[in-house]
Amino acid sequence: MKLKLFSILFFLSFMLCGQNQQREIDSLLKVAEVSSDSIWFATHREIGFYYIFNNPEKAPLMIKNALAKAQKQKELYWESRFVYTYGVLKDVTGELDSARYYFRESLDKSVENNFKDIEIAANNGLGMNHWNRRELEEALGYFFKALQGNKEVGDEKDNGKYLNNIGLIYQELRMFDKALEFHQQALEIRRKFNVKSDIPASLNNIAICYREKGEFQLALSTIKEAIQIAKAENMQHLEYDCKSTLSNIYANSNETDSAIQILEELIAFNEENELATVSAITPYSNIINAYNTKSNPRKALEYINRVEMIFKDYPEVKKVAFEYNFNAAQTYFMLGKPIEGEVLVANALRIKDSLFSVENAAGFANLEVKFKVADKERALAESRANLAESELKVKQRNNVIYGSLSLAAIFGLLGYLFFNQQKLKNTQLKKESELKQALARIETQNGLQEQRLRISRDLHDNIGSQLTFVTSSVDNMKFGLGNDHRVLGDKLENISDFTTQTIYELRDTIWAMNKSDITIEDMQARIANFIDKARSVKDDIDFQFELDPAIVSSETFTSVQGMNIYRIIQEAVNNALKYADATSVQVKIDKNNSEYHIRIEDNGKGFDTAKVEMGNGLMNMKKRAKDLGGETIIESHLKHGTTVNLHFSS
Amino acid sequence: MLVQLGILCVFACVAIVASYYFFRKKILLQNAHQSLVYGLETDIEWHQKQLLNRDENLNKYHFLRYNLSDALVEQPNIRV
Repeated sequence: MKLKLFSILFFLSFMLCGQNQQREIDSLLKVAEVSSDSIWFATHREIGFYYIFNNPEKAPLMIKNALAKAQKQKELYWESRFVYTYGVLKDVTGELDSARYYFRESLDKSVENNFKDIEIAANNGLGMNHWNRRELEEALGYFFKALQGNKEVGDEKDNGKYLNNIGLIYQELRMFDKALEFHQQALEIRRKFNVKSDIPASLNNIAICYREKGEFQLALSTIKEAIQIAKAENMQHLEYDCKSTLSNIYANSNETDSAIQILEELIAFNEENELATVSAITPYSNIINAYNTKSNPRKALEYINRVEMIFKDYPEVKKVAFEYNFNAAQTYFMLGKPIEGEVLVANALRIKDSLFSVENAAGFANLEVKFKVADKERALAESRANLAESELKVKQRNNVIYGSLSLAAIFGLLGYLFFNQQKLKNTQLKKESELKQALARIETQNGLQEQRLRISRDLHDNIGSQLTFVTSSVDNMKFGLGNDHRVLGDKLENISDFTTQTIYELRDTIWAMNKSDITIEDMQARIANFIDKARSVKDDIDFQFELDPAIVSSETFTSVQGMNIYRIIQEAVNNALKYADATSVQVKIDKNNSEYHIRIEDNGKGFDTAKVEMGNGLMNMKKRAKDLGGETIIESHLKHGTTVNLHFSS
Repeated sequence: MLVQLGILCVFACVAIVASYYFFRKKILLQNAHQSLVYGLETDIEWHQKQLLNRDENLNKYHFLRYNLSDALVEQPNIRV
């Protein structure tokens, strides 16, 4: 279906470029009758446009029929489209009021139903309509609207058409710099899209602007390029317009004959095609001006008469043909007809005033400003959209950063908590380990001590009892001997004493083996206890016991040391009690640096150390002193008492 | 803003849950440790008492009376 529509439109477009195509049109209409509604409407639209510009008499009926069908079928789009087409017809045929009416209706319908393409076309049509009525401010406004609308939703290629129209309005206003600006833009777009049918038109307009600015070389080169392209593309009307411009350029650059030659070609073309628009009057106006320049007003008058014939049928055109009025007035003045000239001058001035009023100038400037503001607003909206997109990206990036930071914080917190937990565990394990080690040590120590004690007890029980048995046996034997065997008795008594002493030694040893150490305080107490006991036995003897205050009571001796010290003191005191007949016995314990000095002194009768043989007691003292790592020195003088000195290091 | 608030809430929830979990675990560890330490200290104290008891008995030994039987007192509850 689409292929069929495309084929029809393509054939139509191709066909419309040629001549004598009625049969083809009839064939197309027949095809359209049996096609879908869209093809039917599209066909009638294209043919309608063809008729408007080539056979205006047939155009109304075709367009009305199509409009009626669209209204009947409630095809709002096509209804709006054909209303616009009808407006074009009216505009082309010079029925400007009607054209404006239909353009307005088409615009309203397209706005109401959001038919953007028709809206743009209607705005453009209204622009053309106001232009034809010389209401240039309004025309400019509509052209800007059309351009704006097309920029928003239309094909960029079509911007050239609207830019071109705006440029033409500025041309009419003789604002050629502005006109050039817009024509250049239009040409750029047309070149970009290679719209060969429109490039000559833009070049023509640019050439006109150059001409008006006096830049004739630029104007000539531009217009010749336009003519070349129009001829190559076989665009007769465009070629006509370009030649018209060329003629003006020649005229303005004082190449009047060349101008006249071209103008006569153009007029012949106009008359052949029966054109009666403002632009169609231009070559007449130009040739009149050319003959005026050549000071040939009679020749110019011929053309004035021909134009007046046209004005009879199209009076509205006369009202807006500023240059014709001006040039024709000049001719009449040159012919000596000032009255006719005055009338035409008044017309020209009136047209000029309507164009160049201050309000119009301000209005035109406002329109352009509004258009540029709208354009800038569009650009601003795009910038805002880009900014919003950038802001969104920034927000997303920020969210990612916040999320990452939060995740890092969570991991940091977990790490910290885990570290603390491990630290606590380590501390606890360390303490538990220390306690376990301490428990193991103390358990071992306790076990060893207990085992030693039990072994000691067993040893004492066994050996002690055996020695006790030996002692009692020896005592029994001695008792059995009686007094008859005195020597044997003495020897048995010695054995008994020795055995008893052995038992005591054993007990001391066993005790010392189990008791690790003994404090000075404990020693002091035991020695004091011994002294007290001796005092109680011998109450006539003065006993004194002194401990050096410098000696710290918490100092300790090993049990063996303590035992040895005690036994030495015990032996010395017992000897003093037994043999010395003393009245005073002193026991002193001193410490000088790390050396202990124990002194047992009595004031008894003393003895000759050289003559008296050392008994077991004294031998034991010396042995014990040696075990202490020290020595015992016994000093005694007859009738001067005895002193036992014990020295040893701690 | 909502997203950021959500992230903050998630972070706060995770922080609270994690803190509570580790707090509970710490309490459990401390309880177990205290229990173990108490047992160990009790054992040590028991042994110390026995050592002290032994020493006190040994101190009963009189150097003149040679009463070793009074000094060497077995403690049957000690396993050797």
